[in-house]
Amino acid sequence: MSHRGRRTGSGARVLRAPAPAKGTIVKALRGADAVAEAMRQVNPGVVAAYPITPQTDVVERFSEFVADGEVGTEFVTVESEHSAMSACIGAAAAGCRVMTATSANGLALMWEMLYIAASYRAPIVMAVANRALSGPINIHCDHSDSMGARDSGWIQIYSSTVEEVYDNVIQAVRIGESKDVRLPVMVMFDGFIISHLLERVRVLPDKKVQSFIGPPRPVYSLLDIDHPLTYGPLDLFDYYFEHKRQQVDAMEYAEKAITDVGKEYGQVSGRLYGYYEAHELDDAEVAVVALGSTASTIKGLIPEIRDERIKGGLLKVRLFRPFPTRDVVRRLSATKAVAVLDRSASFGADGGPLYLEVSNALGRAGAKTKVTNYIYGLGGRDISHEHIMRVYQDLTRMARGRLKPGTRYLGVRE
Amino acid sequence: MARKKETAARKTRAQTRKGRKTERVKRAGGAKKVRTSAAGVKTSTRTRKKGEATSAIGAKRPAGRKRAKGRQAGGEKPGWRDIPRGGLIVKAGNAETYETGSWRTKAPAIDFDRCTNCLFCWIWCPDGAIQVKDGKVVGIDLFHCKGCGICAHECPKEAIAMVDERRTTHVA
Repeated sequence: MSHRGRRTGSGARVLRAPAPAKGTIVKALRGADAVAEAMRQVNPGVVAAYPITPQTDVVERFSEFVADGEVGTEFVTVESEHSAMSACIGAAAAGCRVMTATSANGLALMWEMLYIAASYRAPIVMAVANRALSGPINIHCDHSDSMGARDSGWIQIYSSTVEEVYDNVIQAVRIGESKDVRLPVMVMFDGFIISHLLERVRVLPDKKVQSFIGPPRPVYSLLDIDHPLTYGPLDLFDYYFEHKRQQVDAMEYAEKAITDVGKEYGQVSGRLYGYYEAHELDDAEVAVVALGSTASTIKGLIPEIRDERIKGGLLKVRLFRPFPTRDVVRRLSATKAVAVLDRSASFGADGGPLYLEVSNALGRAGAKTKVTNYIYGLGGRDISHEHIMRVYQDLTRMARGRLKPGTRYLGVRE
Repeated sequence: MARKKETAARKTRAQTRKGRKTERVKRAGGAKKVRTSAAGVKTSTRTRKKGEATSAIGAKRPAGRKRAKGRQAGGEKPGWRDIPRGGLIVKAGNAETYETGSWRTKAPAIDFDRCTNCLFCWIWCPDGAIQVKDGKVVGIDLFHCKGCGICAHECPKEAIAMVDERRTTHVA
């Protein structure tokens, strides 16, 4: 039986997507260009950013749009990422639609302000070109930067292709600004692997994007002098806890907003988005869970894995925050063994961040699935076809009780 | 979906609370609650209506009931659903209703025999807690006084002493 071309049970994508919008143009874009292109179409009120490899191309390209008068954006060139995020927060408090982009150490320098943006409920959209955090200094891809920010209160979306980055940036505007959500959104794309990869992107007409996102709908504005308000007052033991509880609630509302926006975007673009994408999971005995570009690589390898007579599937997680716990349980609890691929290490923890989420979800649901962890690709180390084949082969052994689950390292020299 | 679930969960919570609430109300029984400072000084009064929750944390407010106006003491603060998001203060001038007096460990006591009404304390007080009437110091607003002691430090006549609250005698 041939498995090629079969794609069953693929999350929200099982819904038949309508035809793409009229006027859609296919362009050859790199990931960084796709982000800049989406930003141009969104035409935000303020962009404050500082360049850092591999995000540089995003702001470079966007600054050209500003210089050429293609956007009406106030582009603030700041002296650091800490200032970039501070300026973004100020602009969002004023009621502006705000966007920015960063990578690795730039994100680390924003740390303090990330939490403040989320706690002020500022719906800022930030593209993050994933790069390894120093040290030692490294400019290539891994997820240590954004994974470290997973508890900062931002919504986190991971993209696997150039087109997905474009789509996610546009959707992020709507998700963050949704009523009852009002949270900042990070859109992740793998540094160099996606940011500098040239792919075909079906770019929507500018008008379609504008009508999809609509005008900014600020709840409050600092510039509204008829209704004076205070941002950032002292919030002690008597109120802080309540405000944090509100943030938990906002993430719960985000779950619905993400689904609704993904569906609506499907109506506009012909490309439906859900929390995850499932490939060959319906009859899968073993499965791999992955984020970002690696998920695309695995997707391409699934037919080969099936040819090896391995009943293997893939769960590509799109949202890391809020995490699709229910979907993970629903799609994976029938499998015998699951491998979770992490592109970042959580030193001293019982595995990588994605593994901890998946294993917790399945464990709490009482699933008998064996869950194992692979750390891979740190600092841009390649993940090869052989690595992925080995993971599936390990999984089949694990399913038969011939290999114990644990944390293993793909591609590290012993 | 999420919202429906939330409402359902809230209803269940409200029901389980109901039993406890009735008991508490019975005890409180619409009695007039008089809040006094440690010094025995009457600072605020508030009547608890029948059926009204004693604690606002997560409690469902009866429809049409207005948010407690004026001063809010500890334990009567609104729950997380009832406050503006993001820690914002959307109403100007609400410092007046926010009790900072609970931070105090020592309170200023004025010796009116020594006081010359120079009003240095009034000028220096960072909280506007010195009560003045017709150009004369009449007392301390203990709802706002944090007990910082600046007034006592600045008083040229040493008419203000920072003392254990149980020994203060001034009128609020």
